[in-house]
Amino acid sequence: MSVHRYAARAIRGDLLRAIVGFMLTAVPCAATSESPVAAGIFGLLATLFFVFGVRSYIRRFALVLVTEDGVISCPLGERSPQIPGFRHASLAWRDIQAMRVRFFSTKRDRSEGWMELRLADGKDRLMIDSTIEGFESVVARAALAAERGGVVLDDATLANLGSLRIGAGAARI
Amino acid sequence: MLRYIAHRFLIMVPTLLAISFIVFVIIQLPPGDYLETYIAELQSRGEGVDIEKIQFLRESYGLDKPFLVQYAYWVAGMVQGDFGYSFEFNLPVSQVVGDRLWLTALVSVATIAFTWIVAFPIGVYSATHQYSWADHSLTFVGFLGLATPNFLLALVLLYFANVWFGTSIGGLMDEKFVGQPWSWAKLVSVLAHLWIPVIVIGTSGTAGMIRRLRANLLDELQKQYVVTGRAKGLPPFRLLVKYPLRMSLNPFIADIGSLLPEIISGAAIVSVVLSLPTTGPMLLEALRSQDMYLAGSFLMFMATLTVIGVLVSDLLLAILDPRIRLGGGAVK
Repeated sequence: MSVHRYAARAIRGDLLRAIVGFMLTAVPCAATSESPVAAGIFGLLATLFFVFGVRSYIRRFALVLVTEDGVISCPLGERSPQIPGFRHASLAWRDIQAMRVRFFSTKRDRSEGWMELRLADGKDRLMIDSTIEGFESVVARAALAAERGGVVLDDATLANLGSLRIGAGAARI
Repeated sequence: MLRYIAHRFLIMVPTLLAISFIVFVIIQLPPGDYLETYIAELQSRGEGVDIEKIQFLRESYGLDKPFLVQYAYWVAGMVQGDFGYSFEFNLPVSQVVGDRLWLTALVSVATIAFTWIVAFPIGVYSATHQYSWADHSLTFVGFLGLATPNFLLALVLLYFANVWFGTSIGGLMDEKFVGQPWSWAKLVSVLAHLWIPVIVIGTSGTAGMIRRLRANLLDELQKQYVVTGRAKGLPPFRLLVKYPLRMSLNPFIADIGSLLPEIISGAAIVSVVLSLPTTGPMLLEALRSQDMYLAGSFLMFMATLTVIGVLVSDLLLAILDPRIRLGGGAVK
C-alpha cells in the first residue's frame, strides 16, 4: 500500500492565492454601497475565493491510499466524517467504470499547469490533482485498471497519459 | 476546476489594474486637460474666461491633484460603481452612458450571432467541397466581404434600406423613440433598424471567419485519423462533426477574448456613419474633447470585455480540449 499527500508547498501557494483573492474582492464588496451590481459581482468572487481557501486548507489533511485492490480518498485524513463531500471515497480497481485525465494550463501556450485524475465506479468517484505526491504512480495504476476493465478513454486522456509517458495499460511508451 | 477558476480570476485582478493604469496614463497624455481645452474653446469664440470659476472647477474635479492621487480616486470609484464625472455633459458617467451601453451590447451580440450563423455552414461547406464551383463562388464573395470597407457598405446599405424597405436612414430606432422609455414599439423599431449595422459590422468578420474555418478544417481533414475513420466505415457526417470539426473550432474559442472589443472598437467609424447611439461615437468625442473620465470609462469597459472574453475562452478550452501540449508541458 502507498500513501499519498498533497505537497505542502502547493497547498501554501493555493492558500495564499485564496487569501489574496478574498481580500481583493471582499473589501470592495463591503465598501460598495452605490452599485448593487458591483457588490454582487465582488460578493460572488469573494465567495469563490472563500470556498477555494477552505478547500485548500482541508487538503492539508487529505490522504489517498493506493492498494492492490483499489484506491481510497480520505478528504480529512483517516478519520473523515461520514458527511457528503468529506466521507471516504473507496473504489476497487476492478469496478472502475470511468477514468479521465485533464490538464489545466496557467499559460496560453499550455507550457505550465497541472493535471487532474478523475475516477468513478458505479457509486463512488474521486478526484486527485497532480500536486499530490506520487501522482504519476496513481495514474499509472489507474490506467492499468482501466485497460483491464475495458474502460474507454477519451482523446484528451490518452494524450495526457502519453505526456506522462504512461500507456493506456500503464505500459511505458 | 475550482482551482483553475480561482487561478484565472486571480490573474484578472492585476491584469485589470495594469490596464487601468495604462488607460489613465493614455487619457492624461495629451497636453493640458479638459478645462484648458474648454478655455481655449471659449477664447476662440471671443468669450471671456472667469479664472476663479476655472480654478473652482479644477479643484472640484480634482485636476489640481497629483497624477497618482487622481488615479487612485478613479480606480477606487470604479470599484464602487462610480465611474467619475463627465465634464462635457456635466453628469456622472453612468448617466451619460445610459442606454448606449445596452444598445452597444445588443449590436455586438447580434453581430457575433450573425457572424457565426453565416460563417459556420459556409466554412464547413467550402472545406468539404474544396475547389467546387460553390467553393470558388463562396471564396470570391468572402474576399469581397474582406475587401469592402465597412463605412462604404454602410452607405450603400443605408440607401437601399431606405429605397427598398422604407427604413429611416441612420440611427438604431425611429426618431420618435429617441430619449423615450423602453416600450414594445421602441423594441420593434430597434429590431427593424438592427439588421443594417449587424450586416455592415459583421460582413468582414464573417468573411474572415469563413476563410479561417475553411483553412483549419482542410488541415484537419487531411490528417491520418480522418483517413482511418473513413477506412473503418464511420458515416461521413458523424466523422466530420465528431473529430475534425471539433479540432478546427479551437482557434475560434481561443479568439473569443478579442472578438467583443474588436467588434465594439471596429464599429466606431460605422457608428458615426450610421448615427448609431452606441458607445463608439461617444468615445471618439470624449477622446477629442479630453473628457478624461468618460473616455477612461469606455476604454476600461473594452479592456474588461477583453479580459472577460479571454477568461471565457480559457474556461471553454479547459472544458473542450483539456490536453497538455506535448514537448512544452511541465506539470506542477
